[in-house]
Amino acid sequence: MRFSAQVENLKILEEALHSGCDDVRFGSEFCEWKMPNLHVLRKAYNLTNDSGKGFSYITPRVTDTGIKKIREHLGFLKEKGEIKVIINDLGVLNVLRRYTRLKPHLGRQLVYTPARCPWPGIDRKIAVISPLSVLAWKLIRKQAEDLYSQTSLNYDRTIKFFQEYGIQGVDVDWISRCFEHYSFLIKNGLNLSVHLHLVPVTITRKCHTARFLGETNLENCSKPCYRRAFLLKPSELGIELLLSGNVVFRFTNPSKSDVKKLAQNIAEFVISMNSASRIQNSKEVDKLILDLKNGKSY
Amino acid sequence: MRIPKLLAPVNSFESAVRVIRAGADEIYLGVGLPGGLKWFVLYRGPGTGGRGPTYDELGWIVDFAHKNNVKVILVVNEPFMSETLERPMREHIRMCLDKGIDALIIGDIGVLSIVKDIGVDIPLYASTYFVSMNSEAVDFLREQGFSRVILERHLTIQEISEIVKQSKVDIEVFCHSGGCSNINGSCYFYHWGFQKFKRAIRKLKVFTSPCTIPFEVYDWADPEKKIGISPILDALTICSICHLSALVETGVAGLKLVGRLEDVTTQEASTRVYRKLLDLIGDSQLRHDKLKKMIKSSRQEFEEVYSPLMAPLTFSEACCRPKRCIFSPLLNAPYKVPVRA
Repeated sequence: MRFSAQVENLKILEEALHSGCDDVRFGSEFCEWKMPNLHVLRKAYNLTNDSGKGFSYITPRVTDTGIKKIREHLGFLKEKGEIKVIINDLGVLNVLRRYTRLKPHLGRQLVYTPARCPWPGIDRKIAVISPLSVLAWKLIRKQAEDLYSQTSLNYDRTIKFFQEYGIQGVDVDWISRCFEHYSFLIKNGLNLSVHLHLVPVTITRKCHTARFLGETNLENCSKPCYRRAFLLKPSELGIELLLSGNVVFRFTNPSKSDVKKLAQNIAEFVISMNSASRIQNSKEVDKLILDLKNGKSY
Repeated sequence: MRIPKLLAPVNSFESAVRVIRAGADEIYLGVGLPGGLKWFVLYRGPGTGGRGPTYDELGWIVDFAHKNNVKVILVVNEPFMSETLERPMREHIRMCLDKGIDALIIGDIGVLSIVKDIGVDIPLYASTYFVSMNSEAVDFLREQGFSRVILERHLTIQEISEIVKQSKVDIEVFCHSGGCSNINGSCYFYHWGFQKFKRAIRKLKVFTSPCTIPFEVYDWADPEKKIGISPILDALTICSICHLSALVETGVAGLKLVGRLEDVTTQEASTRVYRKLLDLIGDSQLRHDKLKKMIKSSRQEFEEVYSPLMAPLTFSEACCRPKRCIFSPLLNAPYKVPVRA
């Protein structure tokens, strides 16, 4: 099991490199406008390489403008060996086919996961099947609840499809009700990378943070999301959400039993270092890694 | 100039008849999965069925549509497939094929594999669930056997135009209603199935989208510090009539109206409005002032249909004033004028 720090800029990268993580994931998972330029990517790669840690490159969903940038980045990375590229866009997967040395890894946005839905108890309301008997209703409800805990990869044909494109691993969320179904992915040969804390509930191109803070041009966005995140409480719904940049997250706090259940089977724990996770320095990363190694809840 | 096909949503035989008479070139609809999972949906929209027609009704719809040279497209765009769903999905697709549908909209690789397995020989269209935002994604989907790709809704007209230029398949975009605040294929704000949410919607009198709810907003660095109450996630857009001419110029092959859950009057009115405008744009003698006049009268028609649904606001107040246009700039901030339903 390895620990990766996922970082978006050089400042946080420095912190990650001083921490006890094994690998660094550099780039942007959700926002095209937060993708690094080639100069920054080169610097990030060199710094990481010098520190002896592993380097992966993470990419978001992109338009044609982003594809051009990614082609440039892959051109640089292909010279550096078998680097893992985390993809969240089928177009990027298509581009990666031309770079056989690079290793594509499925990002969270390419894995449909109904359990990301933030509404509590939704699975109990899904089947409105009035004409059926109580027994049949219970059976359907159980079946439906089970489906809600699966991902779009819980189907062997889908896994095989992606494996034919060189996919060996996949990013998933820390959602305990899904753990049982993650084992299907592992059995079918996928390496699991599990993200801690932040489960993406919804993503936009009409960046909610930028709009709220009065940014007027995404190309020149001052990226307030590096510094600020917002807690959202829809009081009528009794839940809490977190807005960070163009993503709304919900929290998951791994319990002791969760850690025990999952730790033996997964290849990588992913620690996002940003204003939303509130993990932004090496000490916080080290504490988290220590807790996970000791099987503690936090 | 190529005038795109107009695709209208349908949820019953009556709605099929009315939108076809209103000028739809193609209609699209979902039918519920057979058995107990009929109402089961794995995304925030109407899914394959629920409120859609039955298999028998599908047959009547297909007959009527074909008599009027209109194609019928079946939506099977669940973004998900599993062992449990495989059997009902196979049965479902076969039943629909038997009724004579003309194309399938698919939103998942697993569903695609089943369709290929069955040996379907009608065109396959890639759903927005593939979140196609670039030419490479379109090319990838073309290789998988799709002959039309429906693009993600958050693209600008310029971005759409670039994709169309480079694409070897037909490109379709959404042009009316359901201009979501978030990316369709990555949104887990389900619109249904949660009683508290339904109650909140009723109480707040907002649109049925969770993104339009006013949230208490706190600074995450100091969670005790309340900034205010705002529908901060509201970037919902509704209409594109003012941008239609530019949209047609991109060369898209299809323009889709959202509304499988809407009532038939709304489905019919939006079809009629877009039909009239497209015909006018296609007229080689088109004069700018005539188009402007037509847009104005179209707004009037929307006022009549939508205003009762949006009361106390009118359509113009709810949609035009806060610029809830589907192709408005990405950083437009409609939340400053909360929509009331």
